[in-house]
Amino acid sequence: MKCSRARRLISDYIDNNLEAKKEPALKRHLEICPDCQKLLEEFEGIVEKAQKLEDHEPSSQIWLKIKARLQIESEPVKTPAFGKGRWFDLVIGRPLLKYAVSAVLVLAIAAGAVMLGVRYWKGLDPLQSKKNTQYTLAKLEEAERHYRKASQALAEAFASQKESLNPEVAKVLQAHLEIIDFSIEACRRAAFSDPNNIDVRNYLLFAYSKKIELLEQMVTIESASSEEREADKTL
Amino acid sequence: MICVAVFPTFNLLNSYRVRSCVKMRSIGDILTMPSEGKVEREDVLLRDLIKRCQEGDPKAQEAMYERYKRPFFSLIYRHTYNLEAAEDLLQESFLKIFTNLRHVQSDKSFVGWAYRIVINSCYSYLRASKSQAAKTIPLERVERTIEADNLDVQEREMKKPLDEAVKSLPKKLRNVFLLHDVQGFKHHEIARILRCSVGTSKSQLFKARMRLREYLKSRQAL
Repeated sequence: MKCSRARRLISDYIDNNLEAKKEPALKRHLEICPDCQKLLEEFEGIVEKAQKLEDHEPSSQIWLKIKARLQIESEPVKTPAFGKGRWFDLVIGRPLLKYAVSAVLVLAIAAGAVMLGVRYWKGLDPLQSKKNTQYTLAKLEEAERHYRKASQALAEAFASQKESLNPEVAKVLQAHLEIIDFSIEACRRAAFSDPNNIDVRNYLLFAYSKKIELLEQMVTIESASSEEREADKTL
Repeated sequence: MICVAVFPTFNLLNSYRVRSCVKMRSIGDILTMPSEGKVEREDVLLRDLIKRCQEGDPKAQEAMYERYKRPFFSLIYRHTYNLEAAEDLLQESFLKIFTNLRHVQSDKSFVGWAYRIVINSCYSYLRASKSQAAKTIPLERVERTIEADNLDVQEREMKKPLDEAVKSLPKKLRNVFLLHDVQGFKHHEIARILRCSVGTSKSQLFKARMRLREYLKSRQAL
């Protein structure tokens, strides 16, 4: 047997996959060929090391993130008739949520007004820049007030029912909220130090809208959890 | 041949679980293998778990995650060598598995299907990383960064020379080596996961071992 042939068989041999009829010829070759014998030992060494390679463990947060995503994605998307759907019941049945949803609607209108104001102002004379900066800052502050009001209402609605939520999921949602709050703070500092930078203002408004979106999801998850609990009780 | 008699059904899950028993050479070794009854019980458990996951049972989903997180994560990590990216890919892979599980008809095909999702996620990540690096950073800087990253990873993560050697393998050889020698799959199972022939799997394992041997010898680690 040639070494090139033996080498290919050695790999099968150490895996115990070698056909029985080929084994005697390989063994005879190994007895007379120190190079192939060495290759066999080295392959065995590699396999032994491979079996001892440590498994890696993902962070314990990963399952919580997957669980939260599965909960959000499993929410049924419905368009119920007025007065009979889940959202209607949610708003009518819970005063805090009623307030929160109203605040979000006001926020949407206010944000739209700010954006229109910004577009109108962009075409004005450069000599009026100081006045325009003051106008922009005033509009920005106005939009911020609305966003804060809306997010405060949603946060209160969430906090009032928080105990019905799985504490691990609540912890993940809280961590995400803190990240968004950090982004908002960074964008605010940038926007107020350079009010004429439209990109920075847009980033700030985007960060606020993300916060509202997350708070809405938190309230939705929380209400789904409490509904499940109520359903379990009735069973 | 004896192995086939002990494992009458194609069961990838058990392959991972009994990886320490891969090197069987005698009847005595067979005594260390799980009994046929145990293998059947594992099949029933997996079938039940898949069914409950398909129904959206959160406890079953968590049990499924616990069962596969380590083999999946280890495989992903040894493709990315980046903990953060590996965790993101693990998360995305499990979300794909849970949201598409209803398409799985048989528990026999489940593990191969799930591993394909994981491996495809790794390939997408590697393609994106390669293309991103090519688009945005000059070659010289990439080389310097990779060298620096390598040193960093070696210092922080790579406790063993074999880990370094595995990193040097092309992705296809790496997959076969990790699945066969590290996770304990057999060639016919790898062929199903990677959708190649048994001959290709054997040939790639041989090439992978040869390359690892050269790498380890050049660093006097073998």
